[in-house]
Amino acid sequence: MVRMLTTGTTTIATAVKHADVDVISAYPIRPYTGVMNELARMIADGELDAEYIVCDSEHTQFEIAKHAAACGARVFTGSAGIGWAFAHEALVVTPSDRVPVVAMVGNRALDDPGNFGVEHTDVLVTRDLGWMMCWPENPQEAYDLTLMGYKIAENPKVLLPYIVNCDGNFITHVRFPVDLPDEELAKEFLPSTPPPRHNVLHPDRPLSIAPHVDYYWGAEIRRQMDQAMKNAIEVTRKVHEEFNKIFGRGGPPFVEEIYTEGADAVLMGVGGMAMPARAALKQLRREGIKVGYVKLRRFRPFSTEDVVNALRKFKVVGVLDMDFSFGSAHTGGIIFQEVRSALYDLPDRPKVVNYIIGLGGREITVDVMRSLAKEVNEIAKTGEVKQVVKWIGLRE
Amino acid sequence: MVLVAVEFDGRGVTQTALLRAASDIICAAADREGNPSLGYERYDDAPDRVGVPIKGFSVISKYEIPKDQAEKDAADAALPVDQVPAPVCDLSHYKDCYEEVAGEAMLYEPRSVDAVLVYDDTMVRGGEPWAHIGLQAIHEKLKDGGAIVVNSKKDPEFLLNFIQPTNKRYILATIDAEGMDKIFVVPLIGAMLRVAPGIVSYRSVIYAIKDRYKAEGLKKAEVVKEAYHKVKFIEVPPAKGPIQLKRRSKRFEEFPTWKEMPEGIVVYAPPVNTPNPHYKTDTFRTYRPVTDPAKCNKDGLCWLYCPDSARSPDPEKLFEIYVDYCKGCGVCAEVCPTKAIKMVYELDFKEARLW
Amino acid sequence: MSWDKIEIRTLKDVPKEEYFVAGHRTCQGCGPALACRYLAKAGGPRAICITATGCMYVANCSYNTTPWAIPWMHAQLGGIGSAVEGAAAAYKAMMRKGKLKKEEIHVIGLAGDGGAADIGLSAISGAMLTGHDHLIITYDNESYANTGIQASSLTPWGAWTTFTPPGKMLRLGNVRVKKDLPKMIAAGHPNVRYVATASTSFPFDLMTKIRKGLAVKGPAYVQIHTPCPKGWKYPPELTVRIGRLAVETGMWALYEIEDGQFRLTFKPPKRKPVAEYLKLQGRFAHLREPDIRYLQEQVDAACKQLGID
Repeated sequence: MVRMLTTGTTTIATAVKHADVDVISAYPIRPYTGVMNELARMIADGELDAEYIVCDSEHTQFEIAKHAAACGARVFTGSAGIGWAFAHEALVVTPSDRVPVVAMVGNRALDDPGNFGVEHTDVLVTRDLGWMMCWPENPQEAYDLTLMGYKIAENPKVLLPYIVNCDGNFITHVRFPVDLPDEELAKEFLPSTPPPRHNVLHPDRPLSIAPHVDYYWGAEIRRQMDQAMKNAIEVTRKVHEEFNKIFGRGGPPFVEEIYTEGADAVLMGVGGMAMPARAALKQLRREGIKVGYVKLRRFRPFSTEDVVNALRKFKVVGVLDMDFSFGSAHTGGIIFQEVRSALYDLPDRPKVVNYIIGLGGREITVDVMRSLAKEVNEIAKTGEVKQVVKWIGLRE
Repeated sequence: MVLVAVEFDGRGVTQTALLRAASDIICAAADREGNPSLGYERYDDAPDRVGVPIKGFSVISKYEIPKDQAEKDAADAALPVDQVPAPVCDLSHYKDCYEEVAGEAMLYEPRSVDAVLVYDDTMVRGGEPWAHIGLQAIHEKLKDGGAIVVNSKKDPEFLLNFIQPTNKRYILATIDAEGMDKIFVVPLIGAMLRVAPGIVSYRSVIYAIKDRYKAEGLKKAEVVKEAYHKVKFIEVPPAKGPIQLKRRSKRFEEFPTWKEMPEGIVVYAPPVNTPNPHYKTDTFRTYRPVTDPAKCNKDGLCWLYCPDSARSPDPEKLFEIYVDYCKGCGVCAEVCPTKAIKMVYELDFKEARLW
Repeated sequence: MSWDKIEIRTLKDVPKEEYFVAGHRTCQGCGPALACRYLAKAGGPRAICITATGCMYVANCSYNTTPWAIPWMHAQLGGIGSAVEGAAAAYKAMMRKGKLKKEEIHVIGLAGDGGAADIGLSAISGAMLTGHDHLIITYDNESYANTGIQASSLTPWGAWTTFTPPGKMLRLGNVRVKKDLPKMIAAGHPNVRYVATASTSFPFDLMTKIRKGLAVKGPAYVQIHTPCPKGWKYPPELTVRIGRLAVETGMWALYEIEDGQFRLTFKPPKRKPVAEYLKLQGRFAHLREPDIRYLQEQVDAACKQLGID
């Protein structure tokens, strides 16, 4: 094990190296670029043996990744924000072709030219395509979730592409203390060669992949993908168990509860915002106010079971969205919509409110987290919701 | 409320525009009677390919079909075309009828049709438009008692040899439509009026045609009248006993389930040299290449230039065609330096029947 | 290499085996289907073919069946360069690392003219820059035929398409001049050791060029002129004759650029007037005498430049 002070892009690059990836397709866009810089260095220094392709666009990157994976190679690629949007045509067929591509997305605002601050909308516009999605809280988790990603995506019961999201700057660029395991230990968890699967392009087994499909087949293909996503829930649980056993850490697969003991109200979110939340909630707890935080680690597959079981015991859930869906129900965030929908069938369901926070990469302070925690706690006491969706830190 | 429908069967590209034309004429005639309609070409036929069997449709909703429609049409057809009375546009049931016909709008093919107009008589053998569908019989969607009207110089009795047996009763009619008018759907529709009365009235068609072809309108209307009188037809009784077919269309339930399909849109490849067993392309064919052994110099150009890989490489067999796959494009006949290959009309072959 | 020789001079040299078999939904007399058949023969059993969206995708492979006896996969429109790049890199890396048995697998990318010349050259330019071994083939039928004949940047001057219909105001149809894609690729990527043009009406020349493109180290590019009865509006039996006339009139030239050396592989003994080529095709039916004269002048100049005249 190596103790390092390093960024999420570096820990992901290390996971990719430990996965002994064969093909990497790179194109620059802030804030994910660092991972590709690091991988290029590793290859140049002989630490990793892989074909590193300098691409001419994100569309090229993801098309390369798809076809390399279709030929049986283990691949890595990635992008951010509008680059991810440019790759969209290649992104849509990767899940239906059922190839286990692993990609990093350095989350970045989509719509404002040049706004490179974090926002989760870039990846969430892709939420319905069949890509698996997870959010590490810090660079340490970025390593863990990346290494696990290969194991989950390559499982023959899954065979879906996998995204590791990273909050731009906060996780991609800030150096944290992390423990990176030795390569041997990583190999024990993830062998260099993926398990065999039926859909590999090779002259020894001629087959055609992705011929033209019409309405006689569309529903069945979607249902297969649906099943793969459902299978991914069980596979993810097993992979976490195995990871925890080998590495002695790794956390729960879908939902992590933080300071929830004795709390009536919780905040909930994905990615790095769990860090200021931890600090704030610990302080409040010392001051006698018990509010919890529920960290959603994986958004696709969305484990309804885990989310409902975690949230059903609370009176109020305040979902923090670093994204927004214009004109949506209650005109709120995307994760809010989904969490609220998951809880609908509970006979005694918590109230769900939504805080729009950190848009365009705006800072998230411990103080803001404290005030939001107090606010949900207040709702839990009074039972009164004044505003379902609230923008935080907005100049009005 | 009654739903009636007409199917048009043509060949891709060369006859695509004529699917639209026939549908437009029939829908315009229905419109003149105040009956709402839908006209469309089968969506999954596009992109159409040269020679592929394609279909178009008119679907009409009307309050009722007058019992004496055939007599009324016969009386109109006895008149000179410029003296045929105008149809009455009765809109009293329009909203009801519109809802009925619009209820059929989310389909690629009508559930059933009253008449089938066939543009190329070799198509009476049925059509295989796509790989997974199988061979669709020409009367696949025909209602019991409906009519098949074929553009053909042949008699109905002759064409009957090539049509799959069916438990339905139907009228089989032929008219040399191409010999009567370049826009041969005009005489085909005229023939249909006689053998499938009640879909649209004779007089509404005459007015729709006159309107559509403007200066040539009266001339085209004469063609309708001529076809109405000239059409040859027979009544085909239902086949007796169980029907055995070696090729037929696949039913929805026969397709593999999502659990049976290999994941990732995968299809396992056919062995080398083995024509794709799941898709026979012989229903593209109107003319079949035949090699004269006396003229063949065995240079193999017919094999070399076949775009469909549909010839054997064996010179001793004169590079014989794979009869289930040759689309009848005629490239082999064109490239043959000794003119040893003739393109022969498909129905001259007894074994051209596909059942 | 999985073949004993590169040059195909006579019918005896043409493999009897069919790797692109009968039973596909292409047009009667389809030129691109002929290109598929020839490329599969030339490539042989250790080749894989990746095809971008277009006729040769939609018409050939409808789900549950395939006419490809060799491994085949679809690539997104605009992604053919990336697709072959991914496949070639995958094999190279896996073989080097001992994850896959070492052998030569021929990676062939196939795209139509729209799927090659448009969408920013469909990532072909990027794929030509790397050292990966693959061959990109464009079947050039001079329009987006799969979507119902729309102009691409390889549609010739004066041609009817549904996006360039000759009308009362705009008489000429397509007024853009056909992009010279093979020359662009050769000129812009000096590392590329083999660029060639071919025609389905010259199959020996075509198959030889495909093998040369596969045999050469690194990326290669071959553009095949493939007559299209649907888009060019001619009876299907004329496919071979029209393809030949294109070359005989100078509307299409057969050449190769090997290690930077340009060579005509066929020189028509006496060039025929372009009118002979145009008059067989409905897409040029609206052209008048002066238009044809103009086109003739353009072709004459091009032929002079190429050394055909």
